[in-house]
Amino acid sequence: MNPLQRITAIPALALCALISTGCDKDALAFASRTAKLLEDYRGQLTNEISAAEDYYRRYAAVETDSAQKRASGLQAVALLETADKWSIDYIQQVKDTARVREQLLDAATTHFDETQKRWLNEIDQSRIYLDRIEKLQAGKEKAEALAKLLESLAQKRSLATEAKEIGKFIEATKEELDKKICENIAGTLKQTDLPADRKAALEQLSKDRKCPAQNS
Amino acid sequence: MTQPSNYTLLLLAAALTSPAQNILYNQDRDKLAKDTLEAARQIASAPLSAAEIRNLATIEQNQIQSAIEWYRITMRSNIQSFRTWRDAQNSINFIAAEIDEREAGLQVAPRVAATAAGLTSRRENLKTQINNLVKAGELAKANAAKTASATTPSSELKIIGERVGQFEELLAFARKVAAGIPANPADSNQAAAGIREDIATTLTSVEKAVKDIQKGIQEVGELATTIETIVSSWEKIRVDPASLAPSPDKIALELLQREAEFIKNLTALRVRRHFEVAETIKLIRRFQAEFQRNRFSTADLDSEITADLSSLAGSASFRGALEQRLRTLLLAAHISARQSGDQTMNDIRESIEFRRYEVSRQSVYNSAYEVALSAAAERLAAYYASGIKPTQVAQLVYQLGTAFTLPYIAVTK
Repeated sequence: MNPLQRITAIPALALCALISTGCDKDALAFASRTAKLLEDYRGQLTNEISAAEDYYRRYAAVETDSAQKRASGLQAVALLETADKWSIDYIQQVKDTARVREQLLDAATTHFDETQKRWLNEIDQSRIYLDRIEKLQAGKEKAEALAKLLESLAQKRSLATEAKEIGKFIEATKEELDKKICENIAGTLKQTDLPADRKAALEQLSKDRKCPAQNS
Repeated sequence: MTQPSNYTLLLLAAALTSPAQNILYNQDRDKLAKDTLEAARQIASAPLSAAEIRNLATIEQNQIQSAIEWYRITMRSNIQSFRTWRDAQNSINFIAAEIDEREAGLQVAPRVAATAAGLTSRRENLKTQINNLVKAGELAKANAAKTASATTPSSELKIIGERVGQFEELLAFARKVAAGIPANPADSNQAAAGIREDIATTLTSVEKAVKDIQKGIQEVGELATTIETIVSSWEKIRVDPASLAPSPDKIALELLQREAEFIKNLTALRVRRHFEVAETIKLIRRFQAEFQRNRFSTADLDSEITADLSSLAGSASFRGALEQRLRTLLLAAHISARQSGDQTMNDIRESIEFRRYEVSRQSVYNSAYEVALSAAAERLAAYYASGIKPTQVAQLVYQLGTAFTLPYIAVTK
């Protein structure tokens, strides 16, 4: 490569980089506006989740109340049915009226056991219903994760950071270029009709550029 | 376009003409933008409304299960209340009155109290609005198709590349001509061979140079494409992200479709309820007819059902009357099993349907945000992925060297 051309190309590249330093203005603004849009969306999600959770709480309260009423209703019906059945049993003398208190104790024990279950579960019965409901916070958490990323994208980098990044770019470009030049030298050295002086010069160049050793 | 200074000018021009963009690729920003895109896609792939709809299905199932349990308890309670024939009659009359009262619309949930006529008229309006929006959408699509694509710099480079290809053909022809140069009698055989060899060497060098130029042009072409991509991705981030949301017409169409779906479901529920209530009313009328056929006296009406049945069961001659009474009791039991619970069940279904509609309508607005956010994240990712990469610059600089320096040295050595 013409040394003059190489000399002008790299600084020109650096100049381009410098011109474009801090020039992500539109991208930063776009990320910032997107973050604002996300904020609106998150607000909407918050309201929606709040409305849904209210709905679930109301549903759980209604269901808890309904379950308690059903349990009472069931006991009342069972009472009627038992009295009906026992009356026939006494008429048909299947049951002994003399043992009515013993039978009453059995009935009371059954009733007690059922009521006890309710007492024990009564701490927060609505939880039974709420636990069956899928949690809605996941969507909000995902939106929050996106918000953090957008915030990083909208953040203006410091001049020092940008200079460092440009330095990295130029370094990477030089490395790539060296790799290509070394490949070219290696390819030229493989030519059989290469004059001895040129071959020696290229070998020296390869050594100077610290090109990796090639298999002959 | 083929001088090194022009290439650097190209980079400079790109940087100068687009002062608000960064033309150099930045791996860290690219990764960050890609992560952002992934996060935006995550939001759109698992919308909140989907979870809400699943929850509503769970709630609906639970509430219907509770209602069914209630019906069973009420049925058992009704059967227990059948002490006298009058009790049985009163119990069924009570259910009939309940149905009449509810059918009169006294206990219909206010938010779903739209009349059938109102629903029909709304549905017709929706149909007209949807048709108008569909027509507007088709017109917009047709206009968009008319937009012609512009000629790009990379296409011009392609033409140059083709011309170089033609030059290659010319070289191949020259090589053939050189091979066929007849020996000049004035020259010695050795000299003639030397001339031919010189021409062949020169042509080989020129051919190599042309190939390198071709590669260089290809590189410039790729670089031009990259710059076009940078400019295009830059233009795409100069808009308001909110403008990336679906058009108001599209949102309106979506909302109308959701509303149409809601009305369709509500209508289906009401039709179903109408049939269920009609069936219960039919059973009640049949019960009343069967009850009349028993020809109960006032004393019979107040007699215990069990005692009445016992008196009839004692003789075969009363079998007809016994069957009549049992048919009446069985009908009363069936009505008790159906009872007026249909209304409660339908209330639950309509209430859930209404909530489902609310969620579905909300999801249209959410989806508009999700589409805009996803599109914005895609644009940011495309922008940060579009910069000129170190490999491209290195390749270009390398091509500049090999295209114009090495062939020159080779030819003039």
